[in-house]
Amino acid sequence: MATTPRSGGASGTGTAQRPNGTSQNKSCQFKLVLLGESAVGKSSLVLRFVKGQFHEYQESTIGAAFLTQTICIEDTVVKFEIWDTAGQERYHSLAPMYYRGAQAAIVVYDIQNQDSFQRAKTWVKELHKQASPNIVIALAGNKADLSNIRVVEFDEAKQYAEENGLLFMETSAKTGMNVNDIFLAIAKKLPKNDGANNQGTSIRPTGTETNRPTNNCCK
Amino acid sequence: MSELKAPSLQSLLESERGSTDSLLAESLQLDFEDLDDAEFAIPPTDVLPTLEAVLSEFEADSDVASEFGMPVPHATPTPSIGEDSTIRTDGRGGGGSIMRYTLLHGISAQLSSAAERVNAGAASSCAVAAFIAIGTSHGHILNFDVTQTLRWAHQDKHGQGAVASLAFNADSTRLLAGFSRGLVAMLDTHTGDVLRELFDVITPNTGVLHVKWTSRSSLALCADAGGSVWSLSFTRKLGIRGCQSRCLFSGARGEVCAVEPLIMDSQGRHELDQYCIVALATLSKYFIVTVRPRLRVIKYHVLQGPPDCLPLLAWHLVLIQAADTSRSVDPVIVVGRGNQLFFHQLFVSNGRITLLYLRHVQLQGSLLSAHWLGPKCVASLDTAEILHLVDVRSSKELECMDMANAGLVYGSAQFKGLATGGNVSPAFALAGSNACYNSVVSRGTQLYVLGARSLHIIGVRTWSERISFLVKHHRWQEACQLALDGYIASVDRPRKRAQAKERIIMLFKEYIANSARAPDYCLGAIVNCLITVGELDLLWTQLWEKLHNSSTELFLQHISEHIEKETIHSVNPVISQALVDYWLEHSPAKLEQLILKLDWMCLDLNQVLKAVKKHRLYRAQIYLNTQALNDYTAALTELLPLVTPEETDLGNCLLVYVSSCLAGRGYPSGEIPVELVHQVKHDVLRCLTSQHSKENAGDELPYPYLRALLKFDTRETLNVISLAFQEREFGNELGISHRKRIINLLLEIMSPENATWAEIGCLLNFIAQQISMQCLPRDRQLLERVLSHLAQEEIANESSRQHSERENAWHELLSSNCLAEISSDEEQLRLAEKAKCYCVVEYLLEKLERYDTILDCYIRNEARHETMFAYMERHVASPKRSIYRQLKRHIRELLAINAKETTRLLALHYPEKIHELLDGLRREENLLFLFLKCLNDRKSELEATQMELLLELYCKMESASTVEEFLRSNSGYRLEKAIAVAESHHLKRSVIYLYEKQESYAKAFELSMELLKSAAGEEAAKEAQTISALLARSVETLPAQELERCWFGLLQYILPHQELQSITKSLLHEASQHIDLHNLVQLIMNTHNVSTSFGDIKDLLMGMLDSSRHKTEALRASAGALCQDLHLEFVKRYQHAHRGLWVTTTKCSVCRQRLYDHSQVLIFGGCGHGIHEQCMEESETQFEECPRCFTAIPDQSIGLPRPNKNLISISSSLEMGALQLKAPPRRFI
Repeated sequence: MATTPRSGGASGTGTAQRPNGTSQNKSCQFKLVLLGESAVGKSSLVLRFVKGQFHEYQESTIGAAFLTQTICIEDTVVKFEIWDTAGQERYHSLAPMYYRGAQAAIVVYDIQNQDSFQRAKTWVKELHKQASPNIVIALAGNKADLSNIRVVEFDEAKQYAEENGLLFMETSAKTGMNVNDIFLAIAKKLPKNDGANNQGTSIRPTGTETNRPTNNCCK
Repeated sequence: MSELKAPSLQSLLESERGSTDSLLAESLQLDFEDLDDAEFAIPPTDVLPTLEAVLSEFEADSDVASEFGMPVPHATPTPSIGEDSTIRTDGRGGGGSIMRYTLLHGISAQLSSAAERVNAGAASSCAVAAFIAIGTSHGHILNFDVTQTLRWAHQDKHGQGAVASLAFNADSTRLLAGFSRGLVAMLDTHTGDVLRELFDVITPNTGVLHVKWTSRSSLALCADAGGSVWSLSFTRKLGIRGCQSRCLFSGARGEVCAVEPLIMDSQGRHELDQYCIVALATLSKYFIVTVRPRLRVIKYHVLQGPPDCLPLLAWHLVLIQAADTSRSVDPVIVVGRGNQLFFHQLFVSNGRITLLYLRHVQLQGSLLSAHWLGPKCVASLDTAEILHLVDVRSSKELECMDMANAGLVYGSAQFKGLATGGNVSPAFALAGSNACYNSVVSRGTQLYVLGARSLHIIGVRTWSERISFLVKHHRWQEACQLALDGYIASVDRPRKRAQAKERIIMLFKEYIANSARAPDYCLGAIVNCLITVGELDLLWTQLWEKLHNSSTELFLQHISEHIEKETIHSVNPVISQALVDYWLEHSPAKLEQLILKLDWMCLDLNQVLKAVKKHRLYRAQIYLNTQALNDYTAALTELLPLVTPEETDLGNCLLVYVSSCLAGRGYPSGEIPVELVHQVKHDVLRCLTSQHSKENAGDELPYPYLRALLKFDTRETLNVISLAFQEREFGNELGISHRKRIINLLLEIMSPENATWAEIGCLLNFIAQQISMQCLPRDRQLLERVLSHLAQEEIANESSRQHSERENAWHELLSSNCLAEISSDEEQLRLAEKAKCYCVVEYLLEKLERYDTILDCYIRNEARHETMFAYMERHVASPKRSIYRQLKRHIRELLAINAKETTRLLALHYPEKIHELLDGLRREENLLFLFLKCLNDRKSELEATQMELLLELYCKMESASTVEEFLRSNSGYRLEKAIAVAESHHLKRSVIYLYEKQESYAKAFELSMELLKSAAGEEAAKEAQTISALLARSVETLPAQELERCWFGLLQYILPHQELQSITKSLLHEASQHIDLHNLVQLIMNTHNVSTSFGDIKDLLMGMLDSSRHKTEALRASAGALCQDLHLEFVKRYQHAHRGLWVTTTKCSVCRQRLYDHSQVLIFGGCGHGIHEQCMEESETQFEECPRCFTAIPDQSIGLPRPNKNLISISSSLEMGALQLKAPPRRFI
């Protein structure tokens, strides 16, 4: 539980500290996109990561949803801008809009569903072909809490991931297993030279700096 | 030259994945590198054509040959080759294109006529150099030149039998002939004159097996049937030709079967040239020796093989690539026997000649002969007369050919010494049955096979020749594949690559020339070839023009495949037109794919644009508009009006397009040229936000394009805008005003009249997000509008997702402190509560530090129950959060949500408050029960009263068995109270358990009896057994009389009951252990229905008597045995005690100290050696024999008492079980 990051201030710790407060902290911002067949648990994964919540019956996503989450690794504050895409067929052709500018992608499949794994493979292929060449791709076998009725073997997916240079973890949005770890692993793999990645922030109007408590640097 | 890989293990491993390419590559190399002349010692051919050149012209003869009844082995599949399934199925065969077979008709005809007319006999041996010499079995030698003309014939006049062996010297001026009766003759090759006739140069009375010239011009070797090897040094002293013969190896020390001198024509460029090197092989070994400058064995190896197989030797110069990438050209010898081939490299290292093992190849049949055909292949003939071509590097068989019909000549007669009376060793004669040393010879890449009346040539085709061969037989597919393989194999050799390309172009021309006849099926292969070598012009012009109507479609399909594979990006305009037409007709979707992959320059824009508009190929249309016309807005103005919510594909495509344009990316891939980016972004944005379309229809709503997109998918359109806002263009002052304008536009378009509430909600969420991300200025009016949306109490059909998004947006706004200006926190708190946005409420409460109601937010928000406990845990220590107060207030909800967590929290942090809480819950039994149960499960020590309360609740809520389970697993309750509780709920079993626990067995028994009485049948039996078990347990506590009373009570009840008879016996048996038998019998007798079960009673009594008798017997027997044991023991000790002991040493055998130094001594019996008792104890080992003399120690060592003055005293060692020695050791002291 202690590793679960909480949404920015929502769970309200009074002793929140701003990660940017200390000067030696670098900060960078990454665009991350979630891809995968419908009902594999993309939204659940994000919700678990961003808010630490889990709904047994998550409604299917309509259109891509946008969420942000900030984590700390070592002395760097990494802000993820997460685009949680819809898995339904009619939204597939929209995916390029999100992944073409993304620095990282998580391709999710359901370990109980062979088709979703095949679909994940086609996503990976598409990403290799169309996305920016140095995109960090992670493969997530979700619903690992149901591993006793699994269809996709761990080793099979592991081997596939190794062959294609992907990060790989089996996750469970329900139990929270590996959810933060996979985002952390991505953050570690992403290059962290601020200049290039902070383009997004630099163009913002330099209004009053927020007092947003981003207290979730629990790592 | 070759690249036979070096002796490294890696290269050996690599060879495993060798393929047919290796031959190809070799052929290529042979073809292109001018090493052949040097390597194969082909004489300069200014005047005369080379033998190979002449012979290869004979290929046409093969057709004639078949008429003569000869097989045409290369016309695959021949039946004979087809039989060899293992060869055919591995798919590695060259399809008959590698080996070229030729029958030399001229020579064959001469041989036949010689045999028939001059009684020359069948051919027996041959030699090939600049001439072809053939010896016959009746001693004739026929010499032919390269045109197959007979130059001269020689007949032996001395009756020396068959010509066993022939050899040309290096410049083909001398021919050496060995005869089967021992004559060696030297002839001039031009005239046929006999220059020397040597009768006595070899072992007398043996025949010649081999004659060979060495690398020295005047030195030849001759091997005889006795197994000896002779060196023949030819001299010409004072004009008289002479010869000195010297025995190199005597057959008495191992019979030499094969002789192969190393002949290199490297003109002194090789270090080995200074030596005269010969390889020899006997039936068990093979040697490499130097004959000059002095005779010395360099190396020998054992060579095993079947006894009827001869060893085979062949040299060849091979280019060797060592592991360290150094290259060298060194002779490599192949040694074969049985089905094995060994390859060794010979080279000079540090001044020494060294033989290095390279590799080993295992073949399928037994070998007859093995010869190099060029530096990469070995041709091996097996005993079934099938010729196998083996690639050395990959050890794979490339092709095979059946030579059975060649009528191969065997030299067994010479090996068996038939001409000299058979005076050879049996082993030699046996091995010689398969000899064909002199009838299969190789030269360069050709193998000569001598038949009885014919001469055959097997050549290896080069890559180019193979292509020609395949083309000639219209095997285009294979030809193309081969050509491509060759091209690909030459990847890092530019010169060869160019030549390969030329060959492919030639192949293409051949194809064009033939295409009137050539079938369509190889069109794809030809197209593939041309594309691979990059000769696209040929493809577009010559091939296309040559094609007929029927094949154009096929052509276009092939071209399309290549476009899809992205091997070509552009086609000829003529073709592109045809291509577009073709696919328009067949599959417009495919056309779109192709257009997206093609360079627009090659397309006929007019035609294509019309087509894509007509067939609504949006992607292609956008692609062409942007790439070709540089018009980034046309697609929008043309396509956006077509968008409807049903047209997902078009809509999505446009969304992606707009997004790409605004981000400066090309569509569908790539980037927009840098100089255009700014303009494109600007144009697209302006077009999108333009107020009216070009052909304004009047009734059009403003902003038709943006409106269309929003109508199609509000959410995704907003995502597009959100993505676009992150671009640099929106960052500066101007950009912010752009943003503002766009937002205003959006608000204008999404008026309630024209949009659903969900869509407007989407927009407002989006605006909230943008404001909180500081992408928009905090416009008061806007904020108010947003807030009013966010704070709606209820929205019809709002899904939980939408609600959470609304909540999120609000929360983001608050946390970025955007709402402070328009609304106070208090007011928002009120609004949020109404709108059920609990996250927001919680945030505000946090902010206002009104912690006392925060828990409410969590409780009401189902999704956050899990986090709630974490929250409480975190803040339990801070008093201002008043966690306990809230806990107490919400204890009921919390228990209902997660009793376990709640209890954990309470027990951990507020153990002292539990009482209070329990009191509070006194009325709600369910919750109380839950609470207590969880508390109890946590193993926290509940007080007795609480325990009893819990028991009471258990009794009320749960089944009897659960209660009993609870009682068994817990112990905190007071027994009396518990009994009272259980009784009040009539849980008799629990009461019985409690009684037993209280040790009031009597009460327990009474109660059990009640249960028994109320039960019937099976139940009753079970009850009775339970009671008997209970009574058995009570033995220790219950006084005997009481116990007996109980048993009687039980039995009295059971005995009369007919239905319980099944257990009567066991019960009686059980009872008999506890109660007086006498009374028991009486009881049984008194039972009134005893008569009915008299048999049982009798059994019981008999059993009792029996067991009594047994017990008596057993007692008596054991007493007797004990007595006997005692007696024996006594006897033994008595014996020991009466034995005298003879202590012979004065020192302890263990510690070597004096034995009698006032300590207890042990003597090991008969030997009289002793040790200190202390030493015995100290040493770890168990002494089984005397440590000094190894006499076995009897059962009992005898301890000597500590010596004292008189040596006769009684020590205390009796207690230790060792008997006392009363007699003093004699001879001592």
